[in-house]
Amino acid sequence: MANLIDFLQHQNLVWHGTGNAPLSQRLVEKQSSGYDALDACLEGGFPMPGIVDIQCQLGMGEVALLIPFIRAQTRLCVMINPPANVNAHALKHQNIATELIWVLSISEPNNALWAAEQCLKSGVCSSVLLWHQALQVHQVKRLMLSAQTGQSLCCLLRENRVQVGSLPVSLSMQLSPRSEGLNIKVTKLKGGWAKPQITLAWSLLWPQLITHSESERSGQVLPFASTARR
Amino acid sequence: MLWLYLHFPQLQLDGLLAQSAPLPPTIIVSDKQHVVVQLNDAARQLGVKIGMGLGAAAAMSTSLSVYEFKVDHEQQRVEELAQWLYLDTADIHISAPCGLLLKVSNMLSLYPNLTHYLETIQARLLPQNVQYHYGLGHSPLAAQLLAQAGYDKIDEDKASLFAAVGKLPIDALTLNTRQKQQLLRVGIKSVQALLDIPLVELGRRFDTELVQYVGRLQGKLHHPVEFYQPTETFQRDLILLFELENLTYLTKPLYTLLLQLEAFLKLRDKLTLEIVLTLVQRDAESLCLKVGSAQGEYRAKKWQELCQLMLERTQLSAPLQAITLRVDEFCESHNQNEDLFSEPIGTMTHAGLLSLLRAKLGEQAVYGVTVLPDARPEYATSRCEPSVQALHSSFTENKASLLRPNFLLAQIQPLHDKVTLLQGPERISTGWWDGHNIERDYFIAQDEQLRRLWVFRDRQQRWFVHGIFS
Repeated sequence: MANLIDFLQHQNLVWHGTGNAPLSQRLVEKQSSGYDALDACLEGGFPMPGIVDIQCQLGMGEVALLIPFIRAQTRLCVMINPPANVNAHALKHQNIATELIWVLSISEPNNALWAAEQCLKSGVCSSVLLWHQALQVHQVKRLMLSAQTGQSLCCLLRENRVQVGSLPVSLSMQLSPRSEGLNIKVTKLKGGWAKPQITLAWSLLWPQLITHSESERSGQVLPFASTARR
Repeated sequence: MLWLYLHFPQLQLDGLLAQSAPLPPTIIVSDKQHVVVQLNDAARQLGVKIGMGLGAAAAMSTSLSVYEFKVDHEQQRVEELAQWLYLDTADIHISAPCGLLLKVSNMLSLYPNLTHYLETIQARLLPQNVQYHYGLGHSPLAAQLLAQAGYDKIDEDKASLFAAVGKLPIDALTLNTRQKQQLLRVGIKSVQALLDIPLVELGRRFDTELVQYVGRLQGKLHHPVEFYQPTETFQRDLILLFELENLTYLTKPLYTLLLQLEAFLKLRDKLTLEIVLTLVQRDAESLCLKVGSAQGEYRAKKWQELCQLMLERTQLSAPLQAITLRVDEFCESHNQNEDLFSEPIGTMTHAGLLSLLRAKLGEQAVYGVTVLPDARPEYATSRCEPSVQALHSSFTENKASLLRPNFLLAQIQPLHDKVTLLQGPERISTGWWDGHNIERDYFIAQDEQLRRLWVFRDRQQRWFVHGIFS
């Protein structure tokens, strides 16, 4: 009997309850991104632990895309080298506890990677938002190992660039703005199939922001439309 | 009353010996007369003797390394030893410059016998790597004389102890030369001869100072001693054997200091939040490095890691001669209220991570953000100390939310691009009380790359960009 179990284990035919495995070997969980359309596209949400590569220009809602995810976490969110000052006031109005936000400004790129690694593996951070332009394959691998140790998510935010080869990330997305909403093209999803592009309406990213075109389309311009809808 | 005197003949040399085992022939000379006061075995084999002049000693060998005798260094070391011995014995008197006087009688009620007490003291001194002689006596002076003569025997009997003191020559007494000569002139050559003369007779021939001295030696007169009170700070100096130019070589000497700190803190069950490391450089200002640990730490290994990160960022302007480790404040260790059963993720706490990041990147690099009650957007958000508390409070849903950009530009910039206004205006007109008054109409705008910007128009109808809806 013992022999048989050994044999089956050797063949990887025995399923071990994932609950008993050490955290670092547990399966990747999906954490909801907070947007139904995106969740459906990503087969459940952001991979945790994992590395999400977001390619976008500054100012098209890349942080707003992550806001519902950050809100749902109880551990720290560390922002490393954000392109401008983080506005605590905005975070507060999006119901994020500002105590959970740490900001790191580091001039040396290698130090920024070091800090990201430390935060990811510390176990006290749920997510690290890293603004970094040039990443190498081995650097991403190190970040991945750290993320697994600390059960955390690392978001790499960088501009659209032609990257030679692909980085070993768990999820890669390209964001581009359209007039009707934010276009998301998933270029890589570990363990998933190729997905069609989706577009998140601007009203989902910023519920309070009612553009004129929208109000015109709805046919009636009510001065207090925004408050009534909420 | 029984006293124990510990005499440390070569404290400064012991400090050098502790750093590396095979020391080249080394002598320590007094700073004024340049006379050899301490020497190691290698120097002794060359024929150097205590009391020899520097010139004569230098003539013995070319490879002699010479250090200057520093009294304050020895005194400090004696104090450290007193602090160390305070763990085992209560009444300690620091006898300048290099001796400790312990009151034994009171302590014998805690220890089974004198042998056991002495063994405890000796075991305590062992890790300190110091050479010492001890002597017992029924008066402080008698114990001191025996220790300085290298008596080193356990004996409680009053008569035999005084007999041992009596055998010492007059030269061994801590009197000035004039008094010694006076005694020798009248034919008193040993201490016993001096003790045989009744005090009254002695008073007739000699001055009161000598009478006092003999009275105290016999234990007949009161000998005032001031007992040591341990200070609540930690400071250790280390003079390096060689001048260091590369800070990576500092690892080992620093670790020995940190181990002492660990022992110090462990015994008191305390932690410290900050250690101050002073690097003494040759002909240059000393560098003062502050290494912090936000959660409090006592372990030498952890401090070593943090110091290492700090030293990596440090530039020496001149070779390093000595280091000092100083800790002024201590804190209680606080229990971490964590779940016993849930599996810990990672190995760190908030404070641990914070101290690690700050040690490597500097104090300013890590900060939190907080909201201030101000209507002006640039004052409504501010940097603050990162929170090191794990948050468990339920965040209350904020209903009346304003739309604000996630990023604010560090500097307000004039708007040059063509934009379409999406929403607005929202007028903010406030701040007249402190000179930074603003009157702005804020709009949400979209530029040609479809970026969402937070722009405003001021009173003079000029347009500026203030934030980015990222």
